[in-house]
Amino acid sequence: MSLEKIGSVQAHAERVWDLSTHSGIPLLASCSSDKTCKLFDISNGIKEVSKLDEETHSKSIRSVQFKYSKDTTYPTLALGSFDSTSSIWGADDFKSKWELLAVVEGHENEVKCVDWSIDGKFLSTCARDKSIWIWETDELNEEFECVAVLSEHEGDVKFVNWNDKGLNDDHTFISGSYDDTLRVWRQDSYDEDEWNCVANLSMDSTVWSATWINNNTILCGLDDGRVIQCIRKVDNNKDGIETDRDNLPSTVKDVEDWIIDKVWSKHEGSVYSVSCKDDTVVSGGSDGVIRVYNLNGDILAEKRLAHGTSEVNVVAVVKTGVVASGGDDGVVALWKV
Amino acid sequence: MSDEPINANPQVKDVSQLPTRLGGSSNEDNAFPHISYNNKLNNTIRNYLFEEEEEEEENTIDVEQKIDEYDEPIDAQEIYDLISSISDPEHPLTLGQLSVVNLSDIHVKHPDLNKGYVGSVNVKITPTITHCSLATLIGLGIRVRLDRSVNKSYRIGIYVKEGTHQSENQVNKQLNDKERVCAACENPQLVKVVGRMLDTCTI
Repeated sequence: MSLEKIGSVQAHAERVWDLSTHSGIPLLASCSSDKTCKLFDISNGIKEVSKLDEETHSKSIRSVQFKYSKDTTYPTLALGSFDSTSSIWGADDFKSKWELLAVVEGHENEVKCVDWSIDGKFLSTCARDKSIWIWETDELNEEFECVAVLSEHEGDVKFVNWNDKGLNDDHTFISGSYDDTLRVWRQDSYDEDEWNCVANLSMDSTVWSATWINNNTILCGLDDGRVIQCIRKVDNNKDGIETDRDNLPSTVKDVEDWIIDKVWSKHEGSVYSVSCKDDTVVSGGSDGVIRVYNLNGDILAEKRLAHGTSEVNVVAVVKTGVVASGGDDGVVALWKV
Repeated sequence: MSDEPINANPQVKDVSQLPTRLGGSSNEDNAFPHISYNNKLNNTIRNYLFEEEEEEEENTIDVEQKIDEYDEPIDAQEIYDLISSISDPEHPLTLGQLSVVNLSDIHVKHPDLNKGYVGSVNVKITPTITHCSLATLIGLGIRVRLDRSVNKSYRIGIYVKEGTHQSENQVNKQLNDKERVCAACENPQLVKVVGRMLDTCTI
């Protein structure tokens, strides 16, 4: 089955790097190497509604992420740029002017990804400097305090992605890197200033992107073209001795049993993006192919040359059966299964 | 870069020995075949590129259509012509003259757009010495040149030839990481160095 294009716009003059959909409003954000971020109304087709101030970032904007919210007022988003800074933006509602709330500085070089914890308390940023920074923020998102710097990766950290499929206070996220690993991080249950790497999976290829399918299942997009599922093996017997874990050394008690489970599909080039929401999963990459799956990994639909001969840099599930994509051609498109 | 070249005495080929489809016979001036041919080569490349650029500016829609329809297949020689004239970052010589770029190490796979498949251009470079720290820079220069000149329906792959570099995997990984290449192209210092390397190709 093929994907039907239900909307498309020449959003940017240069490559579209990233997209984000708001969880309460039919609003889509895109960012580009043209150093701009734009917002689109996607309630009916795709219409540009605003453009953020262009003077804020001096280099490509690599990442955009809305803060999770079911409200229709006060949407907030974060941007990460190759200029080494991240910026936070807010508006009163859908169509009002977006204001710069904060600029978050600390990384030595290109910020590659930004993401919010589902309760909005934390923002994570990662960069080519191999580090992940965790920032604690207030309700208005005007103050950002760095509470942790995680430097265990041995290469650029390509992305951070908080668990959005768990409970509201589940402070767990995954990161992927140029060092060919996928890591799972959890806030320590006793010392909330401690963040532990509870799993370190070797993938033999740069991990470009990953998404949560559920609490114990992660899907990754790799440079070698594989779309690969990892699962957490939850052993009932092990859970039984959990009460004894306090006696173990701290390095041991937090290790979880994550394994590489199965390959969902293989692209003919780097898989730059995977996304999951509701019961729809999508992958896209340098081969220009967009593939849509159900939660079991069955392919429901595929579109080849989705952005002409250009590479697809990002795919995002809007809602069941509807996905958005952005490519090197500067186009943002909407598709329906 | 220090004043001391990393490879002070590289093997150099005369331009007339290099495979080309551009320009005419190299035997017109026997006294200075190198210089006369070199000039001619540069002029030909200049004209060739200049015409191409003009065309692009005049009629963007046409060019876009061309990309969509993809009517003129490229070949290894054309890729060689595009990159062999790039200058080495530490010698006043081209990558063709230093045999860093060789025709036999360029492989082109044509796209099949009707079936939805893009093509590829793979270039293997041979650094002049196995620990050459400039391999990444040379590769970046080649990538920038090809990204600018080659039809978007070809994916560009740049690799160090097997066994010619100590950190082969590391260099290959870096040269083919889109994000790192894009970031490098926003670094003013690198852009300047790459620009100087590409000066001899008159983009």
